[in-house]
Amino acid sequence: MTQQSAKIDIEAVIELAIEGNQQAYAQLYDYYAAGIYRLCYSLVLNVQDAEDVLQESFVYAFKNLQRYDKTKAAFKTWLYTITVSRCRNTYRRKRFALVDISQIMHWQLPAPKSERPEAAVARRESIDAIQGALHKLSPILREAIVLRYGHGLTYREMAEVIGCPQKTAESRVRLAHDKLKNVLHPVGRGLLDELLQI
Amino acid sequence: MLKYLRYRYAKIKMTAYINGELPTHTRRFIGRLINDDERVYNEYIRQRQTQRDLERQLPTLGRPDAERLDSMWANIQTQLNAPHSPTAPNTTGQFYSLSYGVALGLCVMALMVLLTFDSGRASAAVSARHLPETVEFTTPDTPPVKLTSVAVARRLETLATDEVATDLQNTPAPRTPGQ
Repeated sequence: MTQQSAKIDIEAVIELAIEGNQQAYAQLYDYYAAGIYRLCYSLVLNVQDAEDVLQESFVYAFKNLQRYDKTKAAFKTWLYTITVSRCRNTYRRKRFALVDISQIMHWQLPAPKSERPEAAVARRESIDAIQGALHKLSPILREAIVLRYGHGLTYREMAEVIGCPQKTAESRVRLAHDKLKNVLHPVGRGLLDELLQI
Repeated sequence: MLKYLRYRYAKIKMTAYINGELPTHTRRFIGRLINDDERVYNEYIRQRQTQRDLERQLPTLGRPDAERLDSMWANIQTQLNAPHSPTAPNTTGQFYSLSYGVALGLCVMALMVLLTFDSGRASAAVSARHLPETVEFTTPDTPPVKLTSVAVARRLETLATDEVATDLQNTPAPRTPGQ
């Protein structure tokens, strides 16, 4: 299925959903739920909050589906905008408590059954590293980096979702990238080395 | 020094370079620096590695399983099928307004308690103020009299004023320019 036909299908499904077709709602959910959940989790970094935000976002979107204007934005962008807005509400409510209990207790998330233990450990370590790095970013920069690299949005789409000019979205990605670079790949000798070489 | 400044410049522009966001001439300049300067090249490798890590890891972060998605869909359906009444109370809003109301009430009460204590202390201060003490006042020409400290002060002031007045009377009058 090409991207164009996928778009047409989605629009048709939205029309059906607006008419009250329950199957259409389920189709929309199936199509977007996994991506929206990943977005929620990457932003709030907490399973319970991610689930809550996903449910709130879909309920709001489905109840207000007739307000969606396909000439203004893609459905995905509209849905992402709703989700990011709800994630922001969650940051505000839980400004000091955005910690997953499984992180505190060092619980292991279940690895795929076919995975070898060493591979599972390596996978877990890399996920921990990226999650820890995201924790160190401010919510604004986290939104930018997650939308850009986690969901492959263009700067224009990002600007629509975040609600800022395109240039601002670009600079936020740049800033987040710079900060993550120092967390993920710290330089050993760094500044001293630079100064000695002048 | 120039080499160092070029390195700093390349370092700042590197993310944009990797993302292909630079104008052509800047892009070419950074490309040349990557080729010529080892440190710029190392920085390029480091940032490119970060970008690759992000592109590889971020899409896998928080990937849900089918069971979780199904349970969330069940919840969404329940919420969608729940009878929607336009006058349904917003519990979150109510909670916040109630909390604000309680907080405001407590503040007012605290203020009232403070004011009450403060006014009590002020009246206590007024009532506990000492009355002027009575002391024996004696001058060379008069017999000793019992006077309050205020009266003593007034009497002393009168005496001092009289002395000054006498001194002034004894001093010669100032000369006018015609004299």
